[in-house]
This record gives sequence, structure tokens and C-alpha cells, in this order.
Amino acid sequence: MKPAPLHFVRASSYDDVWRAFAESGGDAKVIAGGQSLVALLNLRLATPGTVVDVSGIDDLRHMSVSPSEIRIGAMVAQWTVEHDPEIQQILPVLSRAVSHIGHPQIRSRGTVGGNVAHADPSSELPALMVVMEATMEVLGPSGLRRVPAADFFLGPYTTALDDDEILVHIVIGREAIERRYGFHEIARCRGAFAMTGAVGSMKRGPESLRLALFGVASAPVQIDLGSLDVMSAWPTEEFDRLLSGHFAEMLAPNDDFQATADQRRSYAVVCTKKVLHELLG
Amino acid sequence: MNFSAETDMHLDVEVTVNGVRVRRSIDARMLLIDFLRVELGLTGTHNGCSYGVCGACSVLVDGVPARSCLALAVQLDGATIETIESVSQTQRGSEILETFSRCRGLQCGFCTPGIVMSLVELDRRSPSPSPDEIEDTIDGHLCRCTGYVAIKRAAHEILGDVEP
Amino acid sequence: MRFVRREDDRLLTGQGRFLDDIEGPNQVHVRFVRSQVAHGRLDLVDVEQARALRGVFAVWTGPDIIDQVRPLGPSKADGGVFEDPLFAVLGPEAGFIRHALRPILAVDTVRYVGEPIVAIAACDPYVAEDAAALVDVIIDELPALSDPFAALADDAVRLYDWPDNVCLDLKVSTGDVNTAFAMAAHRTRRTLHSARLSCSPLEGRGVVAIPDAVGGGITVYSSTQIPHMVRDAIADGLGWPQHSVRVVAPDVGGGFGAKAIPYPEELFVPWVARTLGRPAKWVEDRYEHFVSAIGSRDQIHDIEIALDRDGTILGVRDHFVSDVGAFSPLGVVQPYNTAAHLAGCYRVPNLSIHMTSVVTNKPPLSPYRGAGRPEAVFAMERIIDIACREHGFDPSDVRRSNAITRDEIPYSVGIPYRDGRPIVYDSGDFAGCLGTALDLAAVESDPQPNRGRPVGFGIACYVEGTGIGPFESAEIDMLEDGTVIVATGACSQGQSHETVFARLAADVLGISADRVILVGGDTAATSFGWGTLASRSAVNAGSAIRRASENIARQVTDELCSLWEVAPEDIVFADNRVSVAGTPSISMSWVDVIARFSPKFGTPDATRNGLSASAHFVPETVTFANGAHVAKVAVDTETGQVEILDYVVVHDCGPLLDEEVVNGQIEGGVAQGLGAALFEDLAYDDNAQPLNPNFIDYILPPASEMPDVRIHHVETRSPLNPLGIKGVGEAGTIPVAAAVLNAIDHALRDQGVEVHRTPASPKMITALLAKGRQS
Repeated sequence: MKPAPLHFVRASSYDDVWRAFAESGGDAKVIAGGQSLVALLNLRLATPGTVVDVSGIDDLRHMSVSPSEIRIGAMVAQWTVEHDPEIQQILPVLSRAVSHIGHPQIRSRGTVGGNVAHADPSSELPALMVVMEATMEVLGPSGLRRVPAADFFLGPYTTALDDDEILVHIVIGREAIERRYGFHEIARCRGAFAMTGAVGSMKRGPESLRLALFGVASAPVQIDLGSLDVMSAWPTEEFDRLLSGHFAEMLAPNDDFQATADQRRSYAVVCTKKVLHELLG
Repeated sequence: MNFSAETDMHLDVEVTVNGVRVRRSIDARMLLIDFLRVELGLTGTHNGCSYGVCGACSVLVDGVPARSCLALAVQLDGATIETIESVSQTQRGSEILETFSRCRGLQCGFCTPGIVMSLVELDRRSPSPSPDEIEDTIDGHLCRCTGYVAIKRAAHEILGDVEP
Repeated sequence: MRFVRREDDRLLTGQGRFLDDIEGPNQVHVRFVRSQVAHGRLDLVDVEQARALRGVFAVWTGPDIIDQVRPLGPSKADGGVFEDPLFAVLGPEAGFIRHALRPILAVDTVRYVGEPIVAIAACDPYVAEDAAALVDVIIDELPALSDPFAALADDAVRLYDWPDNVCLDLKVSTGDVNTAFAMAAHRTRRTLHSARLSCSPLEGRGVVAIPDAVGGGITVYSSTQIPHMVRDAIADGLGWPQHSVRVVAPDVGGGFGAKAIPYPEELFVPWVARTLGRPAKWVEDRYEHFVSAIGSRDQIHDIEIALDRDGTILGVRDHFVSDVGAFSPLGVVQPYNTAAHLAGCYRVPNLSIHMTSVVTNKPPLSPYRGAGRPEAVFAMERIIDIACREHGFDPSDVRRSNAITRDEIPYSVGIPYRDGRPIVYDSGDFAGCLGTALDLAAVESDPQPNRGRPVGFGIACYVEGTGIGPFESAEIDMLEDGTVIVATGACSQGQSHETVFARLAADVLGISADRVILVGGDTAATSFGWGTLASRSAVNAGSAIRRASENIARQVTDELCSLWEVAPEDIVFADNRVSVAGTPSISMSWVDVIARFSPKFGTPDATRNGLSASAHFVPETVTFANGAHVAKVAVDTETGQVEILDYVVVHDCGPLLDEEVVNGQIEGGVAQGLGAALFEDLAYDDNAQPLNPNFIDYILPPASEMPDVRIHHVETRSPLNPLGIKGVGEAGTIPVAAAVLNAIDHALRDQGVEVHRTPASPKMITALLAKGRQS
């Protein structure tokens, strides 16, 4: 359980990154906090010829928080976001979702950008990004692209990033900051990967609801409760029945060691209800 | 350790470990835990899983707890690192260790250094952490001997919280 | 700084010396290439590229070493092959045991994922792993067995040149079970399954072998519970004289059974060191621990209980199958322990037990903390609850009325123990412990829900034969400066031996404990030793140390009685001196006492041999600890998640040598039991591929899942050893899965659910609830 041989490049500018990418011939990986990547290196599940450390790029370490916009540089530690008093005040769901990632000793070095770019299907942040309609600012040698979160997460560990691009900022807009949120996940124990989770938000009434599930598909799943025509039954058992019926059709989660597909579908109903309770009382 | 990887894979790294500045030219793939244990002979930091779950390898990097199995040493150029070997050097550190011992927070002692480092950090950061914060911190560590009862007792006593 | 345990001075300051902390000059690092196929014939093993890699010293395959490193036979601690008292008592008609030889590196066949095929010696662990990646292995796959019942089928592939895949088949009984069942008012029969588990000490296994600078011997450090047995296995396997091999267990980061057998790696690494003429080191990584250290439990019971009209237990009939994987180095221990403890703390006049152990293509199985007893208690305590539900009895009442009372001690169970002696419960108050536990836990038959979740209570009682022989050693040597060296064959993996055992000697000699140095687990310090496993060290090593200390005291008493012309009973050992009672002016320091025993010019007299003593405590048989646990749980019926609301332990291990150490053993044991109850399940697919050999999916319970454990001690003395004590190492684990699953079952009493298998994971509980809703 030791990494295979690798070249290590300390990038202090974006140009350094593009150069390292080019010289590696497509065999480079960016390391942010390394909390996922180094584990994969140790297991030799990832054996990149070059590892590019972007922690020396100041722009990526910057975070700005205001009621109109939150910009998080891709190298900002999860721990920093979790403990930021302003974020705790104006967008507490972000701190809360981050607090479910691993353990404090992981979040201390793990980055928000790294987590998002890793796109683990069981991870909290991709689903939250989708519900917040956050923008992923993506930079490559040919310039900056702004990718809506809904278009960013393509599959397990797969994003809209091209091979020569990196995620540089996550931008959360005023509309998202002004919404109220609900969050719930089910894991075997604290610190374990979520088996299923849901995050939802609301501006005013139930018609403004947004909901996304994680752990039930290869990427976050947006659920439009309005179009499913279930809210009229809330909060009765009929709601559960209707939603279960929809989820049975819509969701085809994995059967794996921790949970069956049926179990995950039923967890999706449980998590959705918890989120709605939080939002609607 | 005399890695046979090509020399163009070697990089210089300079870090301050337990107050001592050290500079080494190392293989880029060397993990922080091996840098501490093998290059510097600080064997108090232990490897329990190599993928960040067990927490035995936790040290402080620039004051925050971190898994030394999940960092390449070359990532840490310029960083300040603290390991279990430094804890008894301060009055407060000694008190923490004594309390941990008095509460029987350890049996075999293998996971202990990581737990102590996490508690040292929480003690510095938070004057009166909530029981939930304490539990979240201890949850970042696996212990197979104690059943955590005594560890929790020690943590609450160290951190000035009421009995769990 | 002042620490309460002697061990803590180094363990808390980063100065502990665990296996991987030991370095030999210019050591090579050994890495094994392990099979990724569960069953097959080695077709091609190409190591040329690995051999050519810079930094690689040598690469070996099975055929390269088979003539020099003999395959491992059954462990010395096992019955069946060595002169075994159990088989002598049971007689040949009771059954048979078969042992397979375990090659160090596979020669032509691999039998489990994780079996070593190739070994590499390289300059560091990174390069060793690079080289391992260059080894090319092609295996012709054979059908793999991951289910013991499939392995029992007539047409199943055979793992060995045996008529079937059975490696142990044994029957033991007492009374007349058939008549009891024929007469019984109620009968209940179920299949109950204890899942396979990994011991998972936080420190894995590991070996460092360093050729001695002078003398031609070798020192082998191993993260083991049994250094003397490892020494003997190395000497046997490599054909080296015992005196040339010194085995030392350094600080060991937990064992729990995983380090209680000699392993192939422990023979191979010294051979590498000798062959290459330089130190050699191998450190197990976490994946290797899951696939190559022993697993345990994996036992499936077909158990039936017969009750009288009033709930009196008339008899129990049980046929259980153990899936022992590819090798079973302690073949008789786990199944026979299950049999010996099945009746537990209850009167079971008619008992019939049939044990079958089956080889499959999983890693080897050997006892893990509890060693057959958790399996027994799970089967027995679950069947009692199920029978109570089925026939309308209250589980507390039935347990109370069937539990053996203090007045019935000594109580004879009617079958032999593993040491061949009749099982006789020597001490205890089983009914009293149970009653105390029920009272403390305030057990209710129909508890109110907790935050909408149904609540249940679960009870499980147990007995544990502890302190099994054959013996443990103690050697005491007094140095001229007054230091007391106490050496014993027992060694600590966290059990606080240095603190507790030093105090035992210090108390006898009236010396402060910090003048006593404990040496455990070094074959150079005691010729004989058995090791720390099976809840045996306090009883056996403790008693041996007590006796050796008393021997020292006797020698001193004899010497000073004649000097001072006083009676032996007037000699007082206290305050670091030896004195005459009531006459403090007649007194001698230990330095002066020891000087009287030291050889000097012109003292050719026989008493001048130094002051030392040796004792080997050989117990008559085991002594029985017992206890009762009660769990109170809430079950979330939407998620299948379980919360432990309360956990009560009433436990009797006799007089407490150190209450905090005992509590620590119990709390740690409960945590491991809780892991087995709710989380841990080492699973394999139909091709015997491991499904979760990592800490992500094999979940060890974290702190937030561990309840406060309310412990109440009952102290009845054992008549079988000078300390009156009973072992405690495994007790905390034994009844937990049974208590917790009984509680879950009770909580779900209205949901049409019956729990038959560990662990009660959300996956299992949601599936049971779904089934319950359908029916």
C-alpha cells in the first residue's frame, strides 16, 4: 500500500498546470487535498505518471462570502467552509453538508473543490451544488467555462471537466443563499459513506421546492416533486405510497454490500420526507 | 530507505517537525508517514490502514489534524508538523497525557498517538467543545481495545466538559 | 509526568516499540504476491521482470523454497494430532479431525484469495511493491467453495486428497436427548448463523528477523501472542535448533486471536534473513490482514430446544457446521469450545451436540476473542427467546428458573472440557448474576417506544472456561541493586501486564512495584511459555508469578529466621524491607538481603546461588467466569438502524486484580461484540472472492456507536488457583451479539420478524421488515 513511482509538479500558476499536463502526455492527476487521491495512490488504483499540486496557486485558496455571492476557490479546505462563521450564518446547509464528509481529520485537508471534482455518487456536495444551482468555474488552456452544477456531474467519478481542465471556483449566487434548506442522509455510522441522502431547498411555498438525491444513482438525481404530483398528499401515508411508486420507476440504484436497490429507494423516500419536514414543518 | 526510483523523481522538501527545521531530498511518492517514521525516526506515528479510515497516523499539519498516510511528504514543503513525540514537551501536553493515562484511555497503545494529536488540536482550538464536537473528533479514530468508553471519559476530562 | 500504567510511559510519548518500529541494519523488506483467485492450479509464475528491478535482492516461488521451509502443520496448541487429552477421553468413536499442511508459498494449488504465491525481498517497501506488480501469475481456475453446505455436497470439488471436505466431525452428549424431546411439551428448532469476522487489531501482523552479531543465532521479533510457539514452529519448520532462535514479542498493537497461531510468514522471514545474511522485515498491510490473517466465527447451528410445560429446559440438540476456510490451524478449539459452552449457565440435563467443520476457499479460520463461545451463546440464547415467544413464556422467567444457583456449585455439566477434564462449574452464582442484571436494566416485557421507534430488551448469559492450561511460566531474578526481574511466557497486547503482574510480585515481597521489571514474551527470558490467549494469562501467569514470588519470600524467610533466630511467621515483607514483626529495629534492606545470597570469595556454600525462583503454574482444569448482559435497543423501522439505549453487564471473574483493567477488558470486549452484532460481516461471493476486505465496508464500530456500559462486578472465588481469580479477556465479547439481537427481536415483536443471523445490519433488518409486512 505505497504509491507507484510518480513525478510531482508544484504548480504556482495556471500555466505551470497546463505545461505539466502537456508534458505528461495525458498521464497527470491534479492533487488538491489528496484525501481521495492519495488513498487511491496507496492502493495503486490510480497510478498517474505525474501528480500536479495546485496548492501553490493563490487564486484557488481564496474564498469570499457575502449575502449576494459565495465564491469558493477549489483549494479551500472543507474544514474552513465548515467552520466559517459567515457561511454558518447565511448558508448553514453548506457547513452542515460538509460536516458529513469523512471525519474532521479528513476535512482539515480535504477540499471542497476536490470533493466536487471527485464526483463520488455517494457524496453530499454534488447534490447540494445541484440544488443550489451553483456554478462550476472551469479553467483550461483555452480559457474559462462556467458550467451549471446540473451539467457538471456526469456519472460516477466523472464530470464535465475536459482532460486539460481543472475546477477553479465554485460560485453560489444570491438566489441560492436566500433559500431555506433541508438535508438528511442515512449512513451505517458517523463518518461512513452515505447509503442515501437528500437535500432540498425552498424559497417561499412548496411550489418553489428543489430536491436532489445522492447515493441512488451514478450522479445526483434532481426530483421535481411538483411534476410528480405528490405534494397534494403531503404529509399523509398516501404521499409515501405515491413517492415510492415514482421512485420505483425512476431510480435504479446499485445493489451493493451495504444496501440493496430496494433499500436505497425506500431510503430515498425517508430522506425526502425528512427534508420536507424540515422545510415545511 | 533507499528508494530506487529515478532521481528525477526526487524533490527537496523543507519542513519544521516538532520545532526542528529539516530539509531532505526525497522520492516524490514518499508518504508523510514514512517521511516521519523512516527519514526522521519518529516512530510514534502509526500506520493502521493506509487509506485514512483508522486515524492511527494522525499528526498536526500547520496546527490542524491530518492523516499522515494521505499526504505525500513533498506536498508539505514549508509546513509545520507536530507528532506525538512533541506532546510531552509542553505543560498542557503533559496534562493531556496524564489525564489520558489516568482515565485508562489506552490499552495496546497503537491507535493512541493519533487520538492524542486530535485531542491536542481540539483542546487548542475550542475552549469548551460541545459533546458532539468531542464525539466527532474521536469518531475519526478506530480503537479495537478500549471500546472508547475510557477514551471518551479522558476526552471530556481533558476538554473540561462534564462527564459524557 | 506520572502515568498510572507502567506501559504508558512509552506508549503515550511515542516511545513504544511496535514491530514496524524495529529496524535491522541494511534490512530487506519482504512483500508477498498473493493469489487473487480462490481456487486453482498455478499454471505460470513469471518472476523474471520482478527479479530484474533495481533494488530487488531476491524473488522466490513455492518450488524454490519447499525443500528448505517445511509447510506448517497444525498449531502446537491444537488437539487431535499431539497427544490430546480430549480425544483420549471421547474415544475414537466420537469422531475425527483432519489437518492439511499449509505451504509457506503455494506450490501447485491455491486455495484462497490471499494465499502467498511469490515472495520478494527488496530495499524498501515501495520497491518491493513495484516488483510485486511485475510478477505475472496465471492460474487455471477450479470451482471455488464459499458455502460450507455446498462444500458438503457429494459432487463438490475437493480441496484436499480426502474423501470429502470435512476436516472435523465430532459428537458429544450427556443424558438421553431423544427421550427428553419425546417427553417435552414444547420444542423449537431454528437455523442460527454467526457471521465470519475479522479480528482487525489496529496493528497488523509483522516479523523482523535479525541475525545475531555473534554466535550464529537469530532474533525474531514478531507481532504475536505466542512467542514460544512461534519459536518452536520456526525451529521445526526450518530445522534449526531451538537455542539458535530467540523470538520476542515487542509492543503488540492488539491481537484478539489473529496473532495466536504461528503463520507461514513467521517462518519465511527468518529464512530470508538467514539466506540473504541480513535482517529481513515484513509488515502486514490492512488488505493482507483481511485476506491472510485468520478469520473467525462462521458457524451455522441447526439447534432445537425442548421445554417442559412450565418452561424447564429438558434438553438441547444441536448440529453445527463451521466454515473453516482452507486451513484450520486450531481445528478443534473453536467447535469444541462452542460445544463445551452451549449449555451455559443453565441446567440442561440432556444435551447432544454434533460438530462438523468444513473446508472451503476462504482464508483460514481460528479462534477470535470468545473462541467458539459467542457462537454457542448466540445459538442458545436466541433459541431460548424464540422458544419463549413461540410458546408464550417470559424470557426473563425462563432464564431465572433454569439458571444454576449458587447452592448447586460445583455443578457438573456431564461432558468433558477441551482439556479432557469433566466440565465442573467451580464457582459463581449464575442465577444471582442474572437477577442483578435484570434488576439493573429494569427489563420490561412491553416497553414504550423511543421517539417513535419500537424498543426491546435482550438478555444473554454465559459461562466461560478461563485459564486453560497446559501451564504458564514465571522466573524471578533479584539483582544486587534490588531490582526484581519477573519474566513470564505470557505477553501483553494491551492487557496491562507490566502494571498488574509487577504488582503481584511486589505485593508478596513488600516492594514498590516500580522496582519490578516485567519481561513478557521473550523466549530468551523463559525456556517455556504458552502465550496470551484464551483468557488465560491472569490466571496462569498471575498464579505462576505469585508462586515464584512466594518461593523468593520463603528463601529469604529461611535465611533470616536463622540469622535473627525468629519464627517464620515473624518475618514481615513491607516498605521495601524485610523486618521482624513488632521489632522494627531488626530489619534489612533488599540490597542487603540479596547480598546474603550473592556468591562471594570464600563462600562455597550452597545457599550462595543468588536469589531467584522459577514456577510453572499448571492448572487442574479451567475455572469458570460467568455473567449476564442486558441490552436495551430502539430500532428505526424505516431505516433498519439500531440504537443501543442501555447496556448492562454483570460479570464474575472473581477477585479483581485491578478494577480499571478489568473494566477496560469488558468495555473493549463489548465493543467487539457490538461490532459482531450490528456491523461486522466478512463476506464472500459465490467464487469465494472477498466482498469487503477493507475498513470502508467492513465497519468496526466507532465511538459514537458505543453506549456507556454499566458494569456490576460479582466476585466469587475460584478454588483452582492461588489468586482465586477467573479470566476476563474474552468475557465482554461473548454474549453481546446474542443480547443485542434478542433485543432487536423483542423490539420488533409486533412486526412479524425473527432474527437468525449476525450482524443485524440495516440491510438485513429492512429485508426482514419487508418480509414481515408481506406475511
